[in-house]
Amino acid sequence: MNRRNQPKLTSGAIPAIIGNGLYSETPVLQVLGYKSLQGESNDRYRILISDGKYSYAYGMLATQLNPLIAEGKLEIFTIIKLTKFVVNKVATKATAGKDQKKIIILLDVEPIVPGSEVGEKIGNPQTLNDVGEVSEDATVNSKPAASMNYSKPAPVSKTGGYGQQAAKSDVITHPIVSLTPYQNKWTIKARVTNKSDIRTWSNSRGEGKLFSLDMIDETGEIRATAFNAECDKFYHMIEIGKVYYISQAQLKAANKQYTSIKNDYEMTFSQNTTVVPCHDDTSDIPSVTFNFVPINQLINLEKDSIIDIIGVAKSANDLRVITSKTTNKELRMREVQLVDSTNTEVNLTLWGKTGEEFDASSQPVVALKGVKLSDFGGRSIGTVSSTVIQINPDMAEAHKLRGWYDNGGSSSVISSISSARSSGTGGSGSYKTFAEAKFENLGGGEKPDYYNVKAMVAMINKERALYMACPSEDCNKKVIDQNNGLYRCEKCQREFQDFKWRMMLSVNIADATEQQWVTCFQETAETLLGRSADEIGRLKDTDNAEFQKIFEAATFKWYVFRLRVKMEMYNDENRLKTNVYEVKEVNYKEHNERLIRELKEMAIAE
Amino acid sequence: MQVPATSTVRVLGTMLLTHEYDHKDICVMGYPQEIANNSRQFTLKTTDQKHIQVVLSQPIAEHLEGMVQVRGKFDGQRIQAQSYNMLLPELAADFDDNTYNEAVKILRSNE
Repeated sequence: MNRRNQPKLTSGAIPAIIGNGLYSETPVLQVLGYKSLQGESNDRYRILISDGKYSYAYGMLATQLNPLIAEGKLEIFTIIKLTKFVVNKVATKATAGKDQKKIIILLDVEPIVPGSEVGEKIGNPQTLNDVGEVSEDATVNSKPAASMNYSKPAPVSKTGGYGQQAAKSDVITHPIVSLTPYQNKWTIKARVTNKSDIRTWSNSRGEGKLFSLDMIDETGEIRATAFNAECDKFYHMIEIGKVYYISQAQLKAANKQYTSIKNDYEMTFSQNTTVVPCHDDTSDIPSVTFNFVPINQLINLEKDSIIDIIGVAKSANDLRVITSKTTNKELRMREVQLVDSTNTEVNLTLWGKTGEEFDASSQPVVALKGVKLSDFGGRSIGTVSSTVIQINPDMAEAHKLRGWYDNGGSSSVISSISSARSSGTGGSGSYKTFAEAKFENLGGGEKPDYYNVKAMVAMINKERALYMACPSEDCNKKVIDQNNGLYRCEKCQREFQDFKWRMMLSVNIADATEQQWVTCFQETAETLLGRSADEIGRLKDTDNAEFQKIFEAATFKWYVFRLRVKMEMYNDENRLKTNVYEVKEVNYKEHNERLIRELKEMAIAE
Repeated sequence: MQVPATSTVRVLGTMLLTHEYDHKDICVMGYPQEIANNSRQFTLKTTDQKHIQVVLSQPIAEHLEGMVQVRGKFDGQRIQAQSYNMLLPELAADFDDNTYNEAVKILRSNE
């Protein structure tokens, strides 16, 4: 073929491509040589390309095109059409501190004229350096034979140490496990497994915003945080599940309190940090790994543990907005009921955006990595900022759960380990033991809690059992003894010639688990003692023996107490106040039925 | 009858008939049926509908009605009673056989 008949090279294409990465036409280029980079399984070829005016040594052949090399279709001097390509910016050891090197990834090429026909370098292309500027003329291999390829002399192993060759590209990457604050010329290739929302703060030292992310590679994982300017720069570009080359971030000792990531160090993105999407082979970078705990095992774990869990979201409450008592901030949350094939149910609290967007109507399988276990209501779990949530993930455990739930799991008898708190006095309320009530922190919320307990009267405080009260019909306020035969009521602003006896008993009651001091007012006190306050008041001064007998007779009797509990503040101290709302004789038949029912629920009985 | 306190196992009629509790100190509840002529024996219809003979060491001095709780040893055929308690009809009226049977089964289930 005559030289004049050969297609012309697209002069100037290469700087245009490197410059802004956009090139709408298909450039015609010439191959001036190639080098193979040895990898683990696949070879990777670096191509020296020329557009007639400029040449560039950083063209990478996409691995799916490797056969072209093997078939000799990309021998030196071949003219090719570059039908598909992409430009990547990569930071390497060599470019640390300077602008990043640009690599043209040749995704699809069409050899038009074989190198043997062309036979020579077209034009006198000037070599561009890695940022697209003309550099000194690099000696280019111009031997006519097509078989010139030599591998880089570096060793192939990928693990450990500094400066190991990356197998798949020209970039040297370091294992996450090797990162330390004492060496900052590194690049990692890692997959983002988690990204938090942007959080803002405002305190006495100032204000700002941040987001954090978790990353993983074959050697380990690490957490990174980006503040203020870096937060804005990287938040939208970083996507969970994608692999990036990251370099030039600060490393410092990790604050393990906020994360379950296992690394002594964590990263802070700085002004110089670069994050580049990796388009190379990322199959050796693992994805998120889970270590699920069956729901029926949660009771055995300590509160505040961070765990992974998977279950079917059988139902969810409405989104709730609550104000944090500590920070006065508005928090959004949604409670979801999660069940798994151990026939156990647990309450899951989803905070923030996750809660807002969650929809349980399809009863999806939900997998969560890094939720916090609390002892609220027994056992319950809640998301924290580092939690990863996956809805209907494509994994074996999820498919198994779906199968279990759809084939009967949904209607099986489920026992909940996050017992709902009985609200208000409506209904007969639930029965608890004192240990359960304590465990579930009843009374610790904003509203008082009510519960029933079968307990025995262990001791009644006789001394302060009675007080002198205002004789007025609707007033029960304690009156002041004027010691002149008159009694003054501050509430009624009057003085009276007499008073009425009222009781306020401090009683210690006990069940099989614990004991509790409770307060009984007039009605419940009269029930326990079997006498009216009036009678007892009179007996106190007239017949002390009888008075004592009444109290003795009242002890060591079983009752069902309906209790109202509320945490109250007294001089900076929080005290649990327990009042007896109602006291009833034990109905042993009902008691028996309830015990049998509870035992069955606990699956001890058949 | 004054009997020193021993630990008795609360059982149902069916359990006695399996002979798992022979010669053990047991306690059974039921409804007294006919009393024998010698007043020392009566049939107890247990809460789980089994008829079991109860033999006492002394004749019964009162009219048995309502429910009876018998403590003694089962010899394979009869209960040799050491003591009994009677539950008058007014109290026994409320007694629920089914839940009682369930409770006893649960109690015995882990032995």
